[in-house]
Amino acid sequence: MNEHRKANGLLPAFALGELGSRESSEVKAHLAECEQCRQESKRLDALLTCTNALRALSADEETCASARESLLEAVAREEMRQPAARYEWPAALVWRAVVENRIAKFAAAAALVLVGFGVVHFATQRDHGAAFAAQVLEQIENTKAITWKTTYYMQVTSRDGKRTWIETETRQEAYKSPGLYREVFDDTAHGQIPHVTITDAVNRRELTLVPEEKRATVRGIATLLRSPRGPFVWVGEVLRERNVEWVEERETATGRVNVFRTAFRDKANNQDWSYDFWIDEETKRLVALHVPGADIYDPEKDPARNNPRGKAWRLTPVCSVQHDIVFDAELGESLFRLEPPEGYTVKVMARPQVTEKEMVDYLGVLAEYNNGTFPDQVFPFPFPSDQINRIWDKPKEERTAAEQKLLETNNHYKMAGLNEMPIAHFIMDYAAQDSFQYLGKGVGLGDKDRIVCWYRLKGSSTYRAVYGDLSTRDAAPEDLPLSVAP
Amino acid sequence: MADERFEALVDEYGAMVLAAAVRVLGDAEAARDVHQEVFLAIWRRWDTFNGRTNWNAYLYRTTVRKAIEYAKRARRNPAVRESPDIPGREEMPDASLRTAELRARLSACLAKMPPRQADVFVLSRIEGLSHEEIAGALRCSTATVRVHLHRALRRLSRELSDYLS
Repeated sequence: MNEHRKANGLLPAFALGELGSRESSEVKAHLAECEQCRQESKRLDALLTCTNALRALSADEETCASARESLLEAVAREEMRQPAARYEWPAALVWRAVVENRIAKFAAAAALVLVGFGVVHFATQRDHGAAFAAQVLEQIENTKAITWKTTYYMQVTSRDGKRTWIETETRQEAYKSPGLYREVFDDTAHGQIPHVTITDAVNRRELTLVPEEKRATVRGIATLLRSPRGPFVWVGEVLRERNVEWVEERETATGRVNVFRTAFRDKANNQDWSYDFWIDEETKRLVALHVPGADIYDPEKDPARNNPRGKAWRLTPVCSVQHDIVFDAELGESLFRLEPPEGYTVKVMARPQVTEKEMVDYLGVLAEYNNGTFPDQVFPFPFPSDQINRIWDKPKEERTAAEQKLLETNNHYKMAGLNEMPIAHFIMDYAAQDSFQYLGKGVGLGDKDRIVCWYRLKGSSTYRAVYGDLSTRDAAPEDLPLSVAP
Repeated sequence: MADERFEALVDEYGAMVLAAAVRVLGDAEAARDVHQEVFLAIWRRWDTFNGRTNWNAYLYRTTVRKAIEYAKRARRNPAVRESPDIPGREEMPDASLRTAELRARLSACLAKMPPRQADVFVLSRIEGLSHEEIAGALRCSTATVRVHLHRALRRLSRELSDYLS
């Protein structure tokens, strides 16, 4: 190699002191003779010296403190946008109400709001792992019509708690872009009346038909459990954001499938959770989704699945499976019509809303339950679901008045069609965006001088503050405990 | 309310993240923005981090990358001129002025460089990490770190030749 080129190539290593003595001597000898390399060597030395000076820069304490405060406020705002209160219901409620509530859990658990898209990570043991993801994403994003079935698995317990068995309910479902869903419920094993529900997730309207009774209900939806972009858009978000691993091959009635899984910690419910994606090995199509995955619950291996049924006392949803998925299905427009058929009795229900007074009263119910102190947080939920479940587990006569009040209030809002917390509904309908702030931690119920939360009503220029005695007053920004936008 | 463990992470590493961002960007406000970007991105994926995350390596890598991207976005702003002004330059002592000038020119150069070269340069020459530490943070070999660093030095030496000569 040309001596000049060799020495010149070694200049960065020489400047960094990385060369051995022999090479270093060679470079020095060349520098004595070559002006061009000498100049470059000087520039490299100057660069290293100058950048050393940058190491002394730092951030002062005030900057650190304010950065921390801004960050935690931003985190709190993000949490407020993702409320999800999910409770288990005992068999004292009708089967339909229990399953409907659990649909909220499975849909909410599945439809994680994933902000931003990161790098796609796949760690599969199959050559077609990356191809699987690409093909599934294409299926989900390009299809305009889908049909599938959803089977819910419920663990049922007898009243004496000594016997357990598994019951299932299956619904036939269809989707047509944009945002139209059709759900047919004709599984009458539990005395339920067959019905059809058509949902327009874009315009937030729903039609429920009970053909046997020629009865129709039209209502505005307060809480969307269906994505306007399709039933499996959450799968696309999971595939982009999370690690997905190949698990196993399975033989099914329709052929061999590869099972892929993503496992994670469900913070809201403080439990391990996972999703299993079943991909047909021949067609490479998504044919089933298991929530949670078989690592947490496998309906084919649960020993209770063969136990005889008895009289149900407590129902616990354990799993949902979306299966027989068909992309690009042929679906007529009439299947998604939101006008009731002729001859039906029609009931129109307005979209449920939560008034300011109801929202404030609910804060009081939470504080009463929490031993007279407002909870540390209200989002994503004020109390862990297992804590609420323990109240349900108690016989009614053993509950305190505050516990019973909390359960009845939650039940009231759920029956009204509000699956989210009433506070979240009030904010959604009445509060200016990003204006709600909760600061109730440690505030005693009745403390008229301490602010529990504040917000700005839409269209208003002033803030409203809720105090510990549940009074509400207008407040100037400078009177609030934290800085707010003017 | 943020997870307590998340808050503990912010308390332990927040100053390091801010300092690294300041060293790249030279601006406390910009460094705060990067600090928030870094930790918000972690928060949004909080449940995917297990107890074995090497936070030091992860945060160095992420902070440097986001700081350089921030500088790149700032360059695309039409208000940014080719030769960035140093605010209050007439009041600064010579040494501080030279440092401020270097940082501004360096930021601009790093924003134009291939990302890996820029990351390695910052982690090595500004953050003072060893080749082994950088290799761990960027998940590559030390040999790769050396190659990127040498290329970065060459490039910067060329682009800052008028300043360095």
